[in-house]
Amino acid sequence: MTDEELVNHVQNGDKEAFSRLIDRYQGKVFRTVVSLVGSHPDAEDLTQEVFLRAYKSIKSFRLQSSFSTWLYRISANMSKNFNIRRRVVSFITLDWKLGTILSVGDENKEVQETADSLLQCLQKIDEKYRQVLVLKEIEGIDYKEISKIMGLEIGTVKSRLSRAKEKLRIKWRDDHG
Amino acid sequence: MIDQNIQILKQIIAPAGLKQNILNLIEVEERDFPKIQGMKRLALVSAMALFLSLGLLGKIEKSSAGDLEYALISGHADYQTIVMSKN
Repeated sequence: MTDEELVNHVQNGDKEAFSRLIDRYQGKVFRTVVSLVGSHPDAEDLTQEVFLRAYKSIKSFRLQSSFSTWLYRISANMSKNFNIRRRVVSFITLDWKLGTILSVGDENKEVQETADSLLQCLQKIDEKYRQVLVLKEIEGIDYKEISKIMGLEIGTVKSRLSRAKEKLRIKWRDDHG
Repeated sequence: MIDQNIQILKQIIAPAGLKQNILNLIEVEERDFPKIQGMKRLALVSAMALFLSLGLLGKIEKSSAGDLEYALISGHADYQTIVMSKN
């Protein structure tokens, strides 16, 4: 069944159809959110909130964009709002810590450490650059869809991605020599 | 190097139990929403009864019912503040 068909089912009260949409998108949404907010426990909570928001709003979703674009937009907006709230909280404390982000064993410790370091670097670049980098390079979404999610021209998305990678490269070099 | 490292982030998977947590949240939301709505109505009726007993109801415009409900339920104002502001 396509996303659109599942959405129609959910709009007609079929909760099982929403369960199938969760199956399809929980990994993508979680990956996007953890890359945007950096913290594993926060990302888990936020992913739940994203799906809850989607469920509550789905009746008014008119399929003017694809379901995935709509869901990514919710994820990006909620992550952005979360980061704003956290910046306020960070006046009080700055010691949030990254949790385990990969479901891997000790043999992949190096991979996990790299991912942790990269997530920390990602947190140091501006939100507007981070979002486009995560959507394009991690989620593999095309420029056209990103432009819809972020409400930007395609050209702006491309230039922002280029700057984002450069900024990430610089942060990485600063942190790792 | 960065491009290679970014590939690592693609391996992040959703934690186990995430889906069930989402479904639980939805269930709670659906179960409690009518209850919350019921409580709102009850609070509004109680407020109206209070205003009536104080002889103040006639002074409040009909159009302020929404403001009144919002203020009472959200805790942004107590009865007296609302009555004062409407007078």
